[in-house]
Amino acid sequence: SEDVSHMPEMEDSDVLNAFKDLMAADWAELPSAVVKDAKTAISKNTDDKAGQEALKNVFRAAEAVEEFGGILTSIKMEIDDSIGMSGEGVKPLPNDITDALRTAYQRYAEYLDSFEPEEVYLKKKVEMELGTKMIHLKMRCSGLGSEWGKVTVLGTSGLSGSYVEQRA
Amino acid sequence: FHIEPGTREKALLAEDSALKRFKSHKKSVHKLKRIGDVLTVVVVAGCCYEIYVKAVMKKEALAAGKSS
Repeated sequence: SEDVSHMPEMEDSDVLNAFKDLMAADWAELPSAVVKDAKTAISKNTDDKAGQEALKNVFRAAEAVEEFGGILTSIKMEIDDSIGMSGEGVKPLPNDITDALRTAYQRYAEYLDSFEPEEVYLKKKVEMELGTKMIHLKMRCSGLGSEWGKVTVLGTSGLSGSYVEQRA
Repeated sequence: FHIEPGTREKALLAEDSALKRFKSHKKSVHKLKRIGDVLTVVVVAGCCYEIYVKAVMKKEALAAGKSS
């Protein structure tokens, strides 16, 4: 079926191993060894240019997702601080946090829309990594816009794009 | 060796007035951890040196006592 996402073809085993390590790592905090292996594989002189380009794309996405995930975590911590230890301080959000939430969602949606059809594997990985943090924000707020319904639990499980998602 | 971010990554992380207050702390936390590691190594080295000095002084005192 053409709906199934395809991993890119890679001939060089070093590039392939670095690619697999990056896709398997937790992008909330990239391990130094994985980053070093990826940089070594990207700077290596090899015939597998297409594989190196795919690895470069994944590496760029990983670094950006790590940084943006930190921004989302900062917003979450700000919300947690404002509501108090046991939730006694629950109140409407101040304007700067609502603006930040709106902008963060906009960035998230635009980033996911910018992937090409042949990069579905990378889009799924990004959605899994960032979607978890978006759901942390979503669970802390009520009255969000309807567009937040697109951030589903399925988006964080890696099942996005599968049969289950399409049936729902 | 540095890989330039792509256009979509630049768009994701572009400076924005709403998000300016919520910067990521990944880099500073990473540096702080390394500084902590360096300080830990220094403290451990200091303790080892102190133990070594005490042992040597005890040995010298013992030798002096024996010779006198």
